Amino acid sequence: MKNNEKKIFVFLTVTVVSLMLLSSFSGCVSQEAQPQQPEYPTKPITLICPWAAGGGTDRTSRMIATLLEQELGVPVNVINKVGGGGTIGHSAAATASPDGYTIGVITFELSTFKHLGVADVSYEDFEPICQYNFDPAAVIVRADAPWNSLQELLDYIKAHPGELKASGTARGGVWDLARIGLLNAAGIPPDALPWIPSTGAAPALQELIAGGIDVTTCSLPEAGPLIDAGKVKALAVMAPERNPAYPDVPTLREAGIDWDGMGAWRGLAAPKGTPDYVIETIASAMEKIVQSDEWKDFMEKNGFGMEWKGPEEFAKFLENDYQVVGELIKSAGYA
Amino acid sequence: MNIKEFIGGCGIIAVGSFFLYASLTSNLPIFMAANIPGPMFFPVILSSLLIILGFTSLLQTAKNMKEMGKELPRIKIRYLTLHNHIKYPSIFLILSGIYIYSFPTIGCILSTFLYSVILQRIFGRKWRDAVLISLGIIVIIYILFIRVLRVVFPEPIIGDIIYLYYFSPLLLLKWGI
Amino acid sequence: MLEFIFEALKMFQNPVVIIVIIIAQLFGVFIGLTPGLTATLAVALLVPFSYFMDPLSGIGMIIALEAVAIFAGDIPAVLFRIPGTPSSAAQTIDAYLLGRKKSPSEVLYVDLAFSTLGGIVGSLILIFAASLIAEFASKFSTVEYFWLVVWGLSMAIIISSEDPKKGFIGVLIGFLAATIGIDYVYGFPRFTFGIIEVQKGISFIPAMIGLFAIPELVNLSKAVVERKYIMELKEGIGKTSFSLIRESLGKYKSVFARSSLLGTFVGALPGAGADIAAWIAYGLGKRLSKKPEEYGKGSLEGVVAATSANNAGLGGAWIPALVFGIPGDSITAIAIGALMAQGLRPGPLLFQENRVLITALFITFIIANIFLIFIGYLAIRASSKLLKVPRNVLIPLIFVFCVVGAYSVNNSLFDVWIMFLFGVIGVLLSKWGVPLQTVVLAIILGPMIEYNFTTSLMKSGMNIGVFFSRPIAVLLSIMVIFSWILPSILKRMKKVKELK
Repeated sequence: MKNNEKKIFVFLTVTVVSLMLLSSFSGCVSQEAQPQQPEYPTKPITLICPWAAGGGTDRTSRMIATLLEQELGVPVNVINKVGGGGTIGHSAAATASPDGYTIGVITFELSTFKHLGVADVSYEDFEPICQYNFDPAAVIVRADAPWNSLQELLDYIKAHPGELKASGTARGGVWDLARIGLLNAAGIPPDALPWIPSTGAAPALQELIAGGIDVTTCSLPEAGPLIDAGKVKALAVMAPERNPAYPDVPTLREAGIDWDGMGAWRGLAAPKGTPDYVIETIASAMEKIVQSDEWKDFMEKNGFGMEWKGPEEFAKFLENDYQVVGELIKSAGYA
Repeated sequence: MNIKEFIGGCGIIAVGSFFLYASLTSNLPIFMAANIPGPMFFPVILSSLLIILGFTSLLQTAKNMKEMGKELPRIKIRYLTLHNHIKYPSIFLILSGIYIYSFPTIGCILSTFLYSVILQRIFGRKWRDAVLISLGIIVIIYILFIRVLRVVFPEPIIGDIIYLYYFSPLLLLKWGI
Repeated sequence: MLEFIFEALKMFQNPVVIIVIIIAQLFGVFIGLTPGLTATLAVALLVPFSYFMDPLSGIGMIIALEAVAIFAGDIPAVLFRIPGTPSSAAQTIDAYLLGRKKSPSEVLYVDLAFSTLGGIVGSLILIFAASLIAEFASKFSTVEYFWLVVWGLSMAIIISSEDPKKGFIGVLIGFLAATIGIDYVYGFPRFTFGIIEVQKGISFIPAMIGLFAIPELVNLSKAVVERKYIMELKEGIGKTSFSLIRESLGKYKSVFARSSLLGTFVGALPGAGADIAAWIAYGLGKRLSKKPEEYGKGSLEGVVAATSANNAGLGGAWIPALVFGIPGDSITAIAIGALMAQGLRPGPLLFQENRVLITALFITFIIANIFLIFIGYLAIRASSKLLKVPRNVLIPLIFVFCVVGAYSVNNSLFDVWIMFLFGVIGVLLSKWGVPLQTVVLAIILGPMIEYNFTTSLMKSGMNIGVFFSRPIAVLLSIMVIFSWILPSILKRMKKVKELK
């Protein structure tokens, strides 16, 4: 019995000591291996997706990973870092080592974190690579609702402030800000159409058809099946141009609102300090990808809006988006 | 058993007080405008209920304080006689904690191998068997998780070797095989 | 109608479809068996493959996988008291204890039989009554969900009817733990103390693995030197014995009918899903049972109720997904993406424009459940061999898979620590006699109660009356109150009878 105990003690000590040695050893390794040569890429790339596996962002990132694998000739692994309304994944991508082997998918929510005070991460922590998607918001009401145009709805809201309720995302999420922007452009105070937070567009649409809320400001493809089913109708799309899949839905300007609208975007970005040759390599690979039939077919079938912005253009866009979102959040009183 | 009731009661009072203190001192409101429950509404109610339940447990034990005094030495003796019933579980828990700690620092494959070998040795398995079985476990993890599910584990020592030269089943499908 | 079925059946002439279904089901066995790997995760990882397949094999793969994974989740529950997937949590304790009393494989055969039957009922309802159920489910707003979730949580009281205080403590601990992280309603970070990783809060799956697995492993390690195997190996442990199946098929007809209908319906409610369906069916089974005292101590009736409900719930979850494009659970949320990638937009047009394909998919549901019998049988035969693995190998083996599984859920070490922490909490709580299922139940339902309660009040402008303002809500609230007071009424009635 005693002998046995001794053995165990020896084992435990050996384990602890060897673990300590190994971990200090591993520290040395990672310090030594700093990329000097601009030969890129030579090892697997990790693509961090800040949203759950199977969701819209995840689907696009897995498609990108597959196509990038072909372009670059190294494995591209998608890993989902989910939670905290996207803060976890964006922070993980921003704080990753800027060696070019970790890049992140970034989404609209990145522009909101600092303004809402939930996380200290913004576009300034990234080197933008490209934007590959844009989905404008839309104004959606129940099919049996008495309003047949955006103007009628806005007039009703003006006359009965606080009576109608809207939903679509979390508080301060993209569709919430679209609502605020729309009301601002129409000269109506944001609290005339209060926001009921939801965990996404699908639960909000369920709530809409159940009669719990009156307006949803999610994107058109998200509401597509319900429009087909005759359960809801779209009054306007918050974009400069109509959506070819829904040619009957007027834009904001056509509906008499002087605003270009807004929506959710997705893009790729590397951590701040990533060398330029990495950004260029991935951006040019992505440029080829977005022109391929495979990509176009995938985006169309999924109802994702296609949009392309290269590194410089995307950087400018991000800066502008950050300002616009900041003003909207302030006008809603969230900040 | 009263001693359990006593410790349990103290435990949930501690947990409840921690949450209650944290929710009252945070700058998040209990109520929003128009008395709508705010973010701290539920935490305050839940932690208060937990504290109340903790005190009812304590009251229960206070009623039969005397019996508890008798119980204490008996429990001590029981635990001493059942030495192994404390020893092996605590070794298991401590080693498992070290395993999780070393998971990111020495990597999934190595730490899993070491953990499995050491635990099996302590639990009285022969060296040879322990090493072989642990190798088997690693191979299963490699095939199922790394190859099929494409999970990326931290591997600071072995490095990216195991992720490179990827046999991508997705590409195979794409090429129409 | 008949010509569509004929056309659809022709699609199965393609051997690829059947091969894909079988491979997906074998894969599903692994997924279900491994704690931490859920059907949701497996489907999410398989969806990219479906892009490059024909629609029938791509979607059929998902249908086939989930049916097997949900059943296979019961295997580690029976063998080791560790639910392989969240949907197995409700019946875990009963199935495990029953397996110790009789034989694990015998219990698993009964489980398999009722899983298959439940799955078929769910599929049949999906095929013949989809639009009807979808129409009804579309009437559920936050008010109705609030009552439904309260009803679900009151199952915790039913589970712990011997010592309700302990059950209540379990609920409070689970609920409090679930408040950590960014809150669902306002998006404020709660109890994060400035640490960004904590913002995501307590991930449910790692917490559940820890709560169930670690106390059991601690238990096993107590006598690791004295006792070689996890249970006394009786003669013929892996042999098939159909007597229990025959007996239970006759005995639990009404339990099965009730649970599978309930399971399909709860599954069809967006956001509820198969795991909640299993809890409600289990709790209701206990309430209406002739032998409620057996529940929690190894009741075959409880296992039957929960397992038929969770497999029926799978078919149910496809109803709102196909009819309205609103997912019924996390798996169908992903399946909608897979459908879209095939160019199939969910909604009424899907049923009109692609009738042959939809019919073929419906046939896949039935085929998947029939294949489940064989694959499940093989899985039981193979996995009962695990009982012959000595304790000193089993303990590291299970724990390693728990760690790797918990890591894979979200690629996060934080989740692994959550699993370990909840394991230690589970050890302490079970020592004190707190039923661990109540903690798990509260972690799932707590945030839903908070969300539906607060947003309902927001919509009504702080008017409590909103909870009784809609017809279905009133009905549900009556059911909730009824399920609380029913046992005391029954007791009183019994007493009156005895007095007479």
